Amino acid sequence: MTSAIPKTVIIIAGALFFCSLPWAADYFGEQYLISLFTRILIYSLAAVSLDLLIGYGGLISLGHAAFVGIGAYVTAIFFHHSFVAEPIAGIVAGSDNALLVWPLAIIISAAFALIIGSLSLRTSGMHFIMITLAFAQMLYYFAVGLEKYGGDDGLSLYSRNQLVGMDLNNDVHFYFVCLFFLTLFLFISHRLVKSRFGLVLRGAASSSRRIKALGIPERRYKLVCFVIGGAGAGLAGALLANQTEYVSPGLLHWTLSGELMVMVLLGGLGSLFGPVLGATAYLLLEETLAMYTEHWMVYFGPILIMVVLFAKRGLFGFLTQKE
Amino acid sequence: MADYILQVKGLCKSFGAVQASQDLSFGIQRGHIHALIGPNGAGKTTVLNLLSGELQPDSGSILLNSEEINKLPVHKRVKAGLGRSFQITSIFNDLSVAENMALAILAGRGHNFRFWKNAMAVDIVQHTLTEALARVDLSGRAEQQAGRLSHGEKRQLEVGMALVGGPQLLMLDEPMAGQGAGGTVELQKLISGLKGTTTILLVEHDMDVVFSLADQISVIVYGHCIASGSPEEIRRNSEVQNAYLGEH
Repeated sequence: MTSAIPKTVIIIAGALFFCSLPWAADYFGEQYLISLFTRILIYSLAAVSLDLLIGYGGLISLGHAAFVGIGAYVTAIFFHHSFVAEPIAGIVAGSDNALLVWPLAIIISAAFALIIGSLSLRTSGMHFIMITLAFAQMLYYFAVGLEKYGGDDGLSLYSRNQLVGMDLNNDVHFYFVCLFFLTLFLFISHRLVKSRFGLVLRGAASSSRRIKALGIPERRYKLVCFVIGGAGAGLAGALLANQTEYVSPGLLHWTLSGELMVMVLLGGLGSLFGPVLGATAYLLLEETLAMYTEHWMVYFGPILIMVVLFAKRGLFGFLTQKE
Repeated sequence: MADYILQVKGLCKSFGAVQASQDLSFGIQRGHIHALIGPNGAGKTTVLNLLSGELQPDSGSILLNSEEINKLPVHKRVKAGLGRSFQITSIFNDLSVAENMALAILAGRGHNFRFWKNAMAVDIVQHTLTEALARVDLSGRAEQQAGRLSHGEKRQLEVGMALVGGPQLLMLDEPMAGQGAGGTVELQKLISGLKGTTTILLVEHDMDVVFSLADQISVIVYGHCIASGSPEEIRRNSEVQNAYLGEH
């Protein structure tokens, strides 16, 4: 490849693109683009959080949707109880305040990640994939059984959360809130993978035997990574519940975990910015192909296979590779 | 009375019907280069795995500085002063050479739950990285991905990483394997330079290297130590000659 593009150029171009999108959508009179790209931002956030696990921690989790779903359900349940003015379990008052509910969504997702992670990390490889999948499916069926919150049918929010100084029901405001959180999470993750913690984590993913020979108990580092990833996914879930003003057990289903994994692979494993590219490409392709045929997966599958075969480091790796 | 840094007493380990270690006993004196030799399949690597804690012995005891370490997991034994390199080179292939070394430098210094500051900018890394890389002749390779080094360079990196933690006892598993003549000379110089400061347990096939470096040699045959002594004593030992050296 002679036409390698420096990483910073791609990142700046991406930032400019996302920042100017609402105005472009307005200019062309295509308002639906704002909500489409809001969805892209939220999925990007979830995909970046999964990239921390897979790309840096070597933790192939097929249950990442669980944390997205938990974040979304926390948001929806708090909203529901605030709406019907009845305390949750008769104790905690509901709320539609973003500054209260979103941190709670993050903390509760992280707490679940701590429990699931500390059990799952006793295994590795194929077993780890299976046990994370099993936990997520367990939570999925739990959500299906939540009759009080709509069970199978899911639960509607009648409005988005309240955020001081912002009107989240305004699509442009909400778009920039999502963009802010994606940028923040990318920045934090970028620092994280370069830190001492990140170095140990990448080392453990590269050679578990060697990291032990250096006297480092690797499991606790992987667990912290798993929890941080779960927290990011929880935030994505809270935002997703706000965007669609609706949550359903589908958010915890393994198919969403699979989609997120495809976004990470498509964009480039272990590159943080790649998954943003991956999520964008995935959702735009899905949107475009679905306009022509309802069997869009038939065309989507081969495209994915081509990318994985010919750009082993994903779209981001393809654009930035040096050789 | 000799000052033993490590003593192995009556160590037994079997894998199914195969007895990899049978009533194995030897001691390593502080400051010595102690070589383990023996024919292929004699159980030398098993001994290192038992010492490092990757394997648990069926019976017997391992004493480091007169304290029993049988029950300690791998990372605690490293903290107690045991460093090792592997027979099959094991470095972090996905990280750069500098990152590999930095990780080794940071490993022994407090916990690594520091999430914000760039690891390469930590003071101790800044102060010691250049020297640590120079010691194993890899200064020019710092930014290269470790997986792309030549075989000899990988080995140098691995030995360098084992050294950087300042272990009391360094276990080297066939450091010369796969090295060209030049690399062997370099490594030999490096190892003999450590004499007196670091005690070394050396498992090595190259007899020239063993006999020129070692202060003490233990000969292992079928998991049992048949002789221990100075290179001269080992050379003259008839049992060793029959069992092993004679074949060469």
